[in-house]
Amino acid sequence: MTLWKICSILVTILFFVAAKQLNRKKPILLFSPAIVAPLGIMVLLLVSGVPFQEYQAGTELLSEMLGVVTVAFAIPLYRNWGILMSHWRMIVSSLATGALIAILAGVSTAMLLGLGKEAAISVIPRSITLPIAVGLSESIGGIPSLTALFVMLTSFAGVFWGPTLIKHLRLRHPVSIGLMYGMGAHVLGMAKALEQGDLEGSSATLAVIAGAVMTVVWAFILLPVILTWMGM
Amino acid sequence: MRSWLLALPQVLLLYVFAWAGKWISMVLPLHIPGSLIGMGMLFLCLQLGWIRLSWVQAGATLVFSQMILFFVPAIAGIMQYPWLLGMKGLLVLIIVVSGSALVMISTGVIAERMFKLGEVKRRDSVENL
Repeated sequence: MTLWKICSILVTILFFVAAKQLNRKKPILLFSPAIVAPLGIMVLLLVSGVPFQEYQAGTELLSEMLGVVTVAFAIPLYRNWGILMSHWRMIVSSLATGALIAILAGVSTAMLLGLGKEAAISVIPRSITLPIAVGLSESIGGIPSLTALFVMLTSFAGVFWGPTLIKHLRLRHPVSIGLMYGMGAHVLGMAKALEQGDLEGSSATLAVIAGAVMTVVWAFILLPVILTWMGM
Repeated sequence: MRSWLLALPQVLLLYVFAWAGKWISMVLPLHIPGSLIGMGMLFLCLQLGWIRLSWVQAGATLVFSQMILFFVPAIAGIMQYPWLLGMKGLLVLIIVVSGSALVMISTGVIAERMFKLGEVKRRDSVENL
């Protein structure tokens, strides 16, 4: 079992490093390591006939690191606490609205399009950073890997929408650009916002953390209502 | 390589917080993800000065820079849902892309409005002087 763990982690790292190399040569969204490396793993598993559950058990340590990543978010939060406090009204109201709309839009479209209750619950933590989303999904009865899928697609959609929205909504203030990227595209949004400027980048980081907290709060407030609506 | 050697013990410290958060979330019936509790505790420790920024900063930088690696198994888990390649997958894409636009529009517009409101107020108070 230990050997299996070491092997699966090493193979994952190998695919990740290779995907990063590829991305350096072709820096487009489709060749992001977040797409290429998992795709490689999937193909390998399908070809070799190893069930996903065994790979999952082998790479437990990597998934546990997602918790460490979440903990590490305390550091940018601490560093930018001054900016956060001086803009707290703007941040709280825009992120509370964004998080609420993310939950309502996700659940209602999932139910209307007939994706089922499990998918509708899993879509709730969609617009927050993956490590927190997976934890939230587990604690509200969703399917963590399905949530992970929603989160990843959301990140890509957010980065895709970003430039168009900035232009058409005439966003000028660096903090609002950052908040939008952080709320809509999480970690990918943080990177994208940082390209625009330092204040954009740090407000995106704040939005990732504060948006996640808001979503957690909304999720627990709205969960009884949503469950009643779905007839559970 | 040297930066890695410096950062690894720091990552271990972060891991301790993650582990402690997980333990607390198991013991107390809070329904909050353990990692989030760990983040809150580390933030408090930093604010109170019990932990210095320099003790964890390099670790955080390392973890953030290699973050996508930790997502790889979770994303590969998509293969458990082969239905995503069909019609249902298209529906999921519709949900995500349309929802994202709504979320980003509301967040951006409200933030920008509030900023402008604050700016107007500030200008008024200057004029009133």
